[in-house]
Parts: sequence; structure tokens; C-alpha cells
Amino acid sequence: MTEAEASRRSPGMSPGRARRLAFHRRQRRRSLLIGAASSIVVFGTVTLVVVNSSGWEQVRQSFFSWEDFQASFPDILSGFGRNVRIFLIAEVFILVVSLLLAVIRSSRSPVLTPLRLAATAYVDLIRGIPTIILLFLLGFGVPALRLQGVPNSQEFWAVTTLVISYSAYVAEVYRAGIDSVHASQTAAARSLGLSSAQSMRWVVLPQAVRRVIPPLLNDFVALQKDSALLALLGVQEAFRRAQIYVAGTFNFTAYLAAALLFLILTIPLARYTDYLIRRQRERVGGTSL
Amino acid sequence: MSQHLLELRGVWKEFGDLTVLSDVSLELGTHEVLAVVGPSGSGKSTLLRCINLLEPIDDGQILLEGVDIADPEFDADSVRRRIGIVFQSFNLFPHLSVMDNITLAPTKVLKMSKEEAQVTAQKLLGRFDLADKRDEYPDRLSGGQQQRAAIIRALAMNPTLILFDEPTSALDPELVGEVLEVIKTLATEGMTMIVVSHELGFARDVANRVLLMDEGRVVEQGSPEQVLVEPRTERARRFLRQMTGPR
Repeated sequence: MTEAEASRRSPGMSPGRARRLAFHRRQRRRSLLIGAASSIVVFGTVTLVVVNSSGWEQVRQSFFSWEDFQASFPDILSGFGRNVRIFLIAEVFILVVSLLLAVIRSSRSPVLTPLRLAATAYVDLIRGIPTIILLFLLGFGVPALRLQGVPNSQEFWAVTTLVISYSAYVAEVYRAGIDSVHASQTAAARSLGLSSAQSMRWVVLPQAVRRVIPPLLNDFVALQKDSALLALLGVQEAFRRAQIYVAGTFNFTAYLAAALLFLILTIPLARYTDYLIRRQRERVGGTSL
Repeated sequence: MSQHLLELRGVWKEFGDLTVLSDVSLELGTHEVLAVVGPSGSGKSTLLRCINLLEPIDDGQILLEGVDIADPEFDADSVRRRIGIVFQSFNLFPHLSVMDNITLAPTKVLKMSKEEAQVTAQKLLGRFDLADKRDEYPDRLSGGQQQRAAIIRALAMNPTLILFDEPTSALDPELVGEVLEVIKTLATEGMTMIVVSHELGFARDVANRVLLMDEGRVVEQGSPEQVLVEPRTERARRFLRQMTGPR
């Protein structure tokens, strides 16, 4: 065997390869140790400071009382069912209304000019009003008008508020997605004879929607939490039930119980959103597009 | 006077202050292949996009079978379905399989049934050696396969005329051949085509006529021998020296 041939091959465990492997193993172990140690120090310190504070004993009793948790939980849980129903209904309408708004705003057809102006004004206006104020205006204002054929239920107006408010934000998410589809895709579609509406429907929108699924889910998480705002109209949802319990016992554990229920729903969704974003990034990196 | 399939008369196109096409005229008969050559930025791609009405022209006429399609009153969608265009960067629809890429326009624009459109697509896929890729998505294909799929997508509309916008310049060198082969096959079958290309050898082999552009003007047009071998203008000679250049 000549020297040139020998140097071309790297046998199973050459000294060089072994040294590299050992180095990387050391590095991995080191970063793991440092991560664990710093976490223990930080969280340990925070815990110690909280537990040793002078008011801790009182806070523990009024926020972390197991008895109160057990007593308030069934009521809050049944109220939470209403939260789930409200945001599921709201979400469906939000997805439809905002898509419509986005398509109208993205179109360049002169026929749609009045609609486009209205959609732009709507988005600007609604995004500028705090949801809570809108909720009061619609939730207390409209039922007070006692209009014929208009529902008076506060739950109805609460859901309507969420739809109106969130549609403005979600429309902008959709629009960003539409804008992110390269003009060459529209050119290809139009060159085949598809009309502008057909290009939007069959070529641009399917790609746009796929791209904005993670930010849409993000807004969905926010919507779940904002369903607690409905308590302000007296809707008997989880937070409202907790308030009622707290008012009767002066123990705040019920709020924690409500928070826990929200977390059980939002954390998996947030994790899933992160997973989708990661997967999308990997995909984009792997293609020629 | 015999009627040409396509005729451009004094076409002007400007982007702001920049004149991209100035007074371009050309004629193209049925079954003819016109190669358009010229340095980058000479307006070749814009010329194709104007013929397909993807860009509105500022002055002049574009006659397709004697009808001025560049007339602003004219229904552009009805023209585009008759003129196919194949882009430099393929522009396949990434969210659709090869089959769906090909059948989208026939079903939505020509209102063909899905089955009918698929039969046509399947035939074309078989002819151009992509039958086994019908269910793949574009990002799983090589550049050459993507461009062949894009050509099939244009053919599926049964166009009167196909425009090729530098169809091989985004391809790795070893993939250029398979795409040129497809275009050559179409030429021998009598498809009317305009091909913008940097492949001068290909232009000589396949084109009936060659048009040399520079700075938005037609510098020279004629038979391939005339333009590519014995050009009359100094500009054309300089361009050829640059293209064939010292090797």
C-alpha cells in the first residue's frame, strides 16, 4: 500500500476521529452541566426569596389553599366549558371574516374600491380601539337600544365583539401571507389564462394560508385568553365563576384554578405552533424555492 | 398579403424613464420558430411578457391572427390562454402536484372535466418522460424535470403559440440538454414558438429566424446564418464575439 492510498482512507477509529469525538462529548456534557447548574441557582434563589418573605404565609393561605381549590374547581370547570364554546364559535367567524377582509384589501379591481376603502377603514378603526372598550360599547350599548329582531343576550354580543376585534388583526396576518407569495406565481397563473380572481383562489391563497398557519394559531391562543373578558359583561364563564367564589370566601385560589384551566388549553397549542414554525423553517431550508 | 400568426408593429414599452422596447416590429408565421438573442437587459424577456399581455405596452400593435390583442379594450385572459409562456425560473405551483399543476388551467379556464384533463396530461407526461413523477410535488424534482413539467403545463392548454423565456439559464449545465431536447421535439412537430435563449448553437439548430436585440431595439433579424454567422451590423458582430468569445 502506498502512502497516498493510506492517507485517503480514514479507518473506523483513527486517532484524529477519536480525538474529535471525545472533544464533542466533553463539550456536550459541559453545556448540559452549565445549563442545569444555572437553572438551579436562578429558580432556587427566586423560590427562597418568595418563601422567606414576611408575607409568604398569608399569600400561601389565600392563593394556594388546596381546600378552596377543590371547592371552587367544579364550578369553574363548568364555566370553562362556556369559554371553550365561545372561542370555538368566535374563531370560525374570525377566520372567515378576516379572510374576506384580506382578499378585499389585496384585490386591485376598481369595482371593489368602495369595499376596499371600507375594509381599510375597518381594520384601522378596530385595531385602534381597546377590545375592552369595544366590549362595553357593544355589550351594554346595543341591547339597550332594544332593536326588533336583534338578540339581547350578552353572550351573543360578547362573541360578536371578539369576532369584530380579532378579524381586524387576523386580516392583517392573512394579508401578510398573500403579499409573501411571489409575483411570479401570479404571472404563471395569469399566463395560463386564469382570471385574477381564479389566480387568487387557486394559486395565491392556498400558499398564503399555509404560510400563516403558525401566526394564526398564535392569535388563536390570544383569543382563548381573551374569552375571559366576557366576565365583564356578566357571562358565566370560568373567570366570572372564580370571581364569584372569591367574593364569597376572600380566598384567591379560585383565580389560580381558572388560570390553570386556561394553561391546560393554551400551552399545548403554543407548543404545537412552535413545532409548525420549526418544521416550516426546515422545509424552506431544504428546497430550491 | 399573407396573414402572419403574430405580428408586432412599432411596439414601445417604458418603465418610468427607462425605455425597454423601442419601436420593435416582427412577424411570425405558423410553424415558425423565432429565436431572440441579445445581451442581458436588452428587453428580450419584456418582449415576451408584452406579447403574453403580462405587461401592457405603451404604444404600437400586437396582432394575433390579425386581431390587435394589445388593444386596451381587449379581453386579456382570452389571449393568455392561447399563448403559453415558459419561465426562466419554472414558476410551478409549489402547493400542487405535477398532475394538478398541469390540469389546473384546463379545468378552471377551459372548463374541461377533471378526468379529461388528466388523460391529456397523462399523455403529455408520458411523451416527455415524466409519467412516474405525476404525483410528486415540484420541490422533489430536479430543475430539468421542473422545467419539463412547466412546458407540459403550457402545452396542456393547447396554445397557438408558446413563448420560452430563457428556459435553460436557471439549470445546471448537465440538465440543459433534456430541456432543449423537448423544445426541439416541439419545433419538429410544427409548434409555433418564440425562444429567448443564450444558447446560440441551439438557436442556429432549431430556429427558422433569429432576432438580435440590444437596448430595446431590433438590431438585426433574418435567417440563423444571416444573423449568427454573417451579421451585417457591427453591433451584431461585437455581440457574437462576446458570446462565442475566446475559449
